[in-house]
Amino acid sequence: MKKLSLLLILCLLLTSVVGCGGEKAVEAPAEPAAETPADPAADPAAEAEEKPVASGKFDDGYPENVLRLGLQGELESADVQLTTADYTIPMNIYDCLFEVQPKDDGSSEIVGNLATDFEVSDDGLVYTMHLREGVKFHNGEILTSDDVLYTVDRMLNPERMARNSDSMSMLKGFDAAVEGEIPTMEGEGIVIIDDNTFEFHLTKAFSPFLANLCVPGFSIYNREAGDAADEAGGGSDNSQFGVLPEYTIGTGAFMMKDWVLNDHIYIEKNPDYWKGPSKLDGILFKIVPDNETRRMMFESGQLDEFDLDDAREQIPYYMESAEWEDNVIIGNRVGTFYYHINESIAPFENVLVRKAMQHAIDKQAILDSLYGGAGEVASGILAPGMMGYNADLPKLEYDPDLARELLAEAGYADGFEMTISQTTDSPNTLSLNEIVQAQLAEFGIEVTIDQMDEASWFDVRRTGALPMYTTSWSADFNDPDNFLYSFFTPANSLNRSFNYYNTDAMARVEAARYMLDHDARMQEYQDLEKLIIQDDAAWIPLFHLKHIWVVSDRVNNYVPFWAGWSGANYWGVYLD
Amino acid sequence: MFNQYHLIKELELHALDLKDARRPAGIDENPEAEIAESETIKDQILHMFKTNKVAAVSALVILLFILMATFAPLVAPYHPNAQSLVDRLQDPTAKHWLGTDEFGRDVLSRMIYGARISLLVGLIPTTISMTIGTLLGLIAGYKGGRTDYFIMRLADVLLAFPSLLLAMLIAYTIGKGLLTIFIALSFVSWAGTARVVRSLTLSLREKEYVEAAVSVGVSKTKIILRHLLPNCIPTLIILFTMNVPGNILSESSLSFLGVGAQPPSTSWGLMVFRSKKYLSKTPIATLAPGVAVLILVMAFNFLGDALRDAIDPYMKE
Amino acid sequence: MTKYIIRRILTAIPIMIAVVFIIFMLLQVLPGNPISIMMGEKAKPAVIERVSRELGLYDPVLVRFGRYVWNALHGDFGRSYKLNRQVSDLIKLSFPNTVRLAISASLFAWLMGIPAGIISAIKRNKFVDHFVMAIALVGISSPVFWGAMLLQFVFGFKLKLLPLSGYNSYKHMILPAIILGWASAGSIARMVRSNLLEVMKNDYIRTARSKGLKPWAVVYKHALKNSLMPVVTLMAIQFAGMLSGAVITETVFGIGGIGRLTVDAINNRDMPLLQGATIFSTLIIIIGNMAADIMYSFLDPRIRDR
Repeated sequence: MKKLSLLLILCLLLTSVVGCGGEKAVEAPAEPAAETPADPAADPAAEAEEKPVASGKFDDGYPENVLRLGLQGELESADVQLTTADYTIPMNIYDCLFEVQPKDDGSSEIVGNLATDFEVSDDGLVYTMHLREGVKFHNGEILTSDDVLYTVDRMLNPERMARNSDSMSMLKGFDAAVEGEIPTMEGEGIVIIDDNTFEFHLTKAFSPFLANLCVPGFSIYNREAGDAADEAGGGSDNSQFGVLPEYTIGTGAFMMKDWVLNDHIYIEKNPDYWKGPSKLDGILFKIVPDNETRRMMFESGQLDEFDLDDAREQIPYYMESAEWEDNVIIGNRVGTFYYHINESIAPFENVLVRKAMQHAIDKQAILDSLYGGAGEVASGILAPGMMGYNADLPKLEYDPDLARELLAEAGYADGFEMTISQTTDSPNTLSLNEIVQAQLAEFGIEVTIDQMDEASWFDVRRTGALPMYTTSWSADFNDPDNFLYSFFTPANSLNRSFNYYNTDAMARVEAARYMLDHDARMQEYQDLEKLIIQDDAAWIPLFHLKHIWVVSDRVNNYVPFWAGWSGANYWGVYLD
Repeated sequence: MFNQYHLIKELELHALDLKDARRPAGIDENPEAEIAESETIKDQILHMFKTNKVAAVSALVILLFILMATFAPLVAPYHPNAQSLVDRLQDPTAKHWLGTDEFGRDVLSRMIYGARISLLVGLIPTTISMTIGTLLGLIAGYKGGRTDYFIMRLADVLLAFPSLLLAMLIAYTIGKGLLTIFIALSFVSWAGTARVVRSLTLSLREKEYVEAAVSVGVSKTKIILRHLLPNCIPTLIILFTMNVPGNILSESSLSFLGVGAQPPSTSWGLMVFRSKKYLSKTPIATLAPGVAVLILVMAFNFLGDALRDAIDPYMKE
Repeated sequence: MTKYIIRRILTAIPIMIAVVFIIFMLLQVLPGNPISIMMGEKAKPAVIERVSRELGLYDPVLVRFGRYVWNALHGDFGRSYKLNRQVSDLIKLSFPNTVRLAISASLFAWLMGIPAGIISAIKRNKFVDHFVMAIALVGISSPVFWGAMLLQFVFGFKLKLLPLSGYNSYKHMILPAIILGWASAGSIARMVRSNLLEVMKNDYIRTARSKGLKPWAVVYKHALKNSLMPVVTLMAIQFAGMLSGAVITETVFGIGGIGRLTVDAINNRDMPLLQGATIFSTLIIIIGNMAADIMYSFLDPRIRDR
């Protein structure tokens, strides 16, 4: 019996040691965080007790007049300079100098935001900016030109490892700044005239510059807030900006309030927002990794919106069901799905084979079966809604006879073996590849789908040796340069493993960046698009999909982002 | 993937009992010892099937699954990868008994083919890991000293890893695929076998007939093969029936985490995972493969329980 | 005894060191530049290059290992590549959730498993016995994520009785606790039953029964205590296993625990986080295994010599 009691004691000890460890962790959060007075994010247990749980309609403890959205994964950071993926929250808590406003005809225009106006010099090298007056940051500071300088300096400081810094690469002094040779851009790329006026100085007349100022990655930060966040973390390498809500300060319509790791983020309305406060009390982002769970939560009313990108097979159901059809929001997606053909892998060095591939894939059938027909078959690079989009481009029809003819002419009448590569864990891509695999089999083309893990996939791709693959590109800023320059330059063509050979065309893509005559520039992009896709068959364009969401009955005025991203600015949304 | 540490400890404890127990039934000092032993096991197993209905049914189920997997091309009504996009996501019909998946492929046919991977994943890594484990256990137990210390610490290290994570890491390192699963599962699970076999060896080594064999100069290899290994067989059978279902379940977990079987080939785990998003539309496509795993694993567990009762010379009274 | 415990604790130290080393080396041979995955399709090659350099990824392996150990000894486990926070902070934020899940699941397992085992043993070979054992075996034999999905679908979505995902109330813990606890309840029930049956064969139990004591009383007074010891050990091991992170349950039910943190880290090649989290989980299992060894040495002192 003694043995037993000893055993039990030991067991209890183990349990309590481990248990205590857990509780201790709750009481004493992150070391740097411990210095901050209130740290609700660190304590989910207290969170649950503080708020009335399961009150009324929602069991999450937040007020009713809160927009509830789902997020697939934890944010990389709320510091938008440290992410290239998670823009939804930054778009709501920060503002940029300019913003893109969609127009009713599907096109869009650039309008002032934190900047009210600008002038550009005749040589296209100097942009003079006028800041809006009296804009307040969440910490009460007033926006000045110095904050813009701080934002750029912070972005280019190599120690910060900013992920978006290349959007500023046209600024004077950029190279020296990212190498850490100069601590500030003042007097180089930025010249401050007064509190509300400053100049950007460019090295070349970079036409898409203004469009670049609209990207969330160039949200304007506040110097005092940034310094306070650095201090809280004990230095710039552990800044709490974008980590702890109280240090994550912007000028946006909402303010960071709660952040419980891997569970939810709550942003609350900014009563002093310069456009006027939002009608929402706030927005609750629930982090739910599983798409199907998120969909079930939407249907049972716990989420106000569901992005059908995460369940494309449900598109017909929502579009046709009497319960949901009025709640469907269809937005443009300024993006293109395509296959990259690697021209350095036989037999794709042969343009006839590439053209045959363009006609052998039945894009409409794929569009219908995988994406509920929501979109249109693509024949080029630029997508509807993008500046310079050419609706009159000749169609690349599905034409099995033509494909066979072209294959025969190229000497592959009986087909050949080829590989399509993709990353694992991407079931949507796999579905697409499996259909294409079956379709190409009709032509005797035997496709092996090589699933590589992401790291190897990116690694091989960088060397230019990755076999054919599919992916999509959607607009970051509204300029054709965003599409063409990202692919059709010697470096990018190697980096993305398609080894486009037409150096002449690529030189023209480079030159088009610096053309000052807008109309001539757009014409040049349309000519290039036809040359690259239809003459050289460098891509197999697939389709431009629509972006479809369903929202709950109580949601009004839901306007998707102009480029059709999953997230948008929800300032104008209100709930019944 | 559950920590099986307690089962290892239990078996180690029983190995201790073996040391004090009378010589297990059927062992004689004559050189035919191992044959006598294996005959006894055979008898015991036959007896078990005659008396234990559950065991007989379980064995039959397993056999049926194996036959189905082996002759999949003959049994399956359709080719498992034949797509028909117009027929996608159908509920069960006369044409498709278990409906169709997102590409209009026949779920039943895919399950029949999927049985191959699920069974292989159950059997092959178990065999590999147990071979490695038995070998290392015998060496550690018989040689003792530094060899023993080294092997056992290595085993401790492996037993300390969260096995699912280790398998994932291995899969990411050497690339995903069936072979990877075999390697990963073999690699993470030999340690238990090694510990148990070592314990058995330590007990058996002190038996008079082993000591006698040593004293007349029988070679080490011969002693290990003739005297030690055969006496480990009952325990090994138990370990085997314990590891097979564990590995089948591990594969389905790995499929869920994206490092299991890779399409277009499929396992039951992967089928559940990929049909999950159609759960509200065609629940049968998610239910059926899950039930298949459940039945197979239960059959192995039932059989394991029965075998443990029937053949274990020192685990029961 | 004390000597054995001390010895056992000392052997855990080299194991721990080996584990750290193996994890570090495994991560080094993982293919691919973690930064390119981290930054995705839109990343500019020049930025990837700059960030990789800044993070010291191009230093020799041993330099990096040395730096890692040195920093770790000073309590600095690095900053997550993906989540841009201190690894130690992330673990501190996630572990309490894993603890809550482990406690709920264990409570479920113990409250269901032990009585079920006792009932089964008393009603041996009756219908109740077979029924209980079948349920136990279903728990042990079903793929966790499949069961989790079905429970979530039925109770969370169709019947709307319980929340689908998250962990900010006790209601949220019910389904995960059941699914995670079922398998261990199953093995506990099976072990209680077989140990009880074993003990009940002993002479003193037979004597007690022949004296006319009710089976329940016999079980309670004599058999239970003797048969519970190995069960306690089993429970300890299972508890440690759950504390090291219930990867699948946490993923399906959206619980921000150690398991999900680790799996996300693997998928994102988030080296610092992966190292930190794996070392942490491994430490828990080592402690669990150590506790089991010590408990077994109480059960059977002979095992100490092994």
